[in-house]
Amino acid sequence: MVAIDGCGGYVPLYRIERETVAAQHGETATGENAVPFHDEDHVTMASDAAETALSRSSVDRGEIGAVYSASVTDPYAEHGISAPVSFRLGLPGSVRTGDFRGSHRAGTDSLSAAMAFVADRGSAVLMVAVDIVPVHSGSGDEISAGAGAGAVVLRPGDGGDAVISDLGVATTGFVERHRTHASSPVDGDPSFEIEAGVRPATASALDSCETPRSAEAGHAIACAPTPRIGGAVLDELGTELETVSTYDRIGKAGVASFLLDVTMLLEDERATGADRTALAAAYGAGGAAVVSLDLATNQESREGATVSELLDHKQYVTYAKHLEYRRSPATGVTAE
Amino acid sequence: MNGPRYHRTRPQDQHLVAFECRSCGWVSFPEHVQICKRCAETPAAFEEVILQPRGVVQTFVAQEYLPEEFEVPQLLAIVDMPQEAEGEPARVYGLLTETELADVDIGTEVVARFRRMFTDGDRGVYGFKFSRPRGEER
Repeated sequence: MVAIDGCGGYVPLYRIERETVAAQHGETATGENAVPFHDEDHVTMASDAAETALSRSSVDRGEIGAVYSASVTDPYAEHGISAPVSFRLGLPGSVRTGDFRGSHRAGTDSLSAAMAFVADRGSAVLMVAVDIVPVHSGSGDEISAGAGAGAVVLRPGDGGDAVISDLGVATTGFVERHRTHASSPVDGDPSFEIEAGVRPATASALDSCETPRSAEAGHAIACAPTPRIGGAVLDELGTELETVSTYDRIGKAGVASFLLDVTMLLEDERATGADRTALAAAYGAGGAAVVSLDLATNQESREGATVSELLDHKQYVTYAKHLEYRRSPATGVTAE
Repeated sequence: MNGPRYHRTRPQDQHLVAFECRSCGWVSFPEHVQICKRCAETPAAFEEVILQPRGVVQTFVAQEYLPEEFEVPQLLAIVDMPQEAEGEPARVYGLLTETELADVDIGTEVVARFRRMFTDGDRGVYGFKFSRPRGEER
């Protein structure tokens, strides 16, 4: 059995209303996006989320056996996130590291590897997911490009914030939407992707769960490249489930949204004590995965700001500042 | 690229490691000096201590004229940072981030934020800046 014992999120302070971005191009939009400051990048944001998760965990830092990161926007071909984060947090030099890339399934891929490590070694794992979605001024994806980070600590046993009761995977090799480093995505045919890729893969991942889906499942989380694909994923999980999502308030945050949404659910659940199970799914290039979570009933207070608090504590920036803050050689963002 | 320089100061830059004079208790951060600047013990014996990621502003300046690529005003503060254990605080200087001039005064409590200080080529060099605690900004 693998438990989530400690979770944390990080959302940048600044926001831009999507209407402000859309108006630059004669369009309209609703919601808002997180805007990382010019001195923030994947390492700093992942470190913040991980620090929060560790501060809330009963696991001592010296007991962490591995650090895994997940991202679809890491600008470096060689640099890594998990190793710098590990050093920043003062973790043992013996920790294994892994940087998962290449798909919005990177979060569930790293979760699967973390669970296997926990089961095999009886040791805890720190998992972080972080993304700063590239902005290309004038392109369609600029309107909803956001940023964020989430982290969880996994350990053997039960209790904690939640128990991971099941993980189902469907690796199909199907690729329609794709993107090269620091460029805009190529969407292909979204309708075709949903019918031939999203629905079959999500359904297959759900069916591959060994534990029958609990009739008490109350919440659903979907990590996907676009809201439309995310909607199809949620459809496959079950339209009766209550959706948990930070998208309206931070925009597309890549794989980070998986752990951010999970963290927000765990934090809010502890506050409200409602519905006890959740399904968290991810669809990306190559397939889908579904995680089943049994949520804890412990109502202890937490250190650090919650995701909801970080969402509320914000300052708006102008379009010019939004481009200026995102012009960073280290993040590989172009904002011409 | 100046790897050795940044590598030497990683404990200070990323773990808030400071150096306490065993003779008089003065705390140096981030410099690891050989002579205590307060008691002039030579050579001085320093003990590594850890600073808390917070402090109190003692004084500050606002830099209004900087090269074009820098956002102005750029705030720079002298901050007293307490230790994790008992002992004198370290008096340090640091940049303020995500902070408006109107949000800072002498006595303002700030927290240390792990940020990219600058880039050496494409590689980020990390350290700490200060800001008001999240939620207490104007």
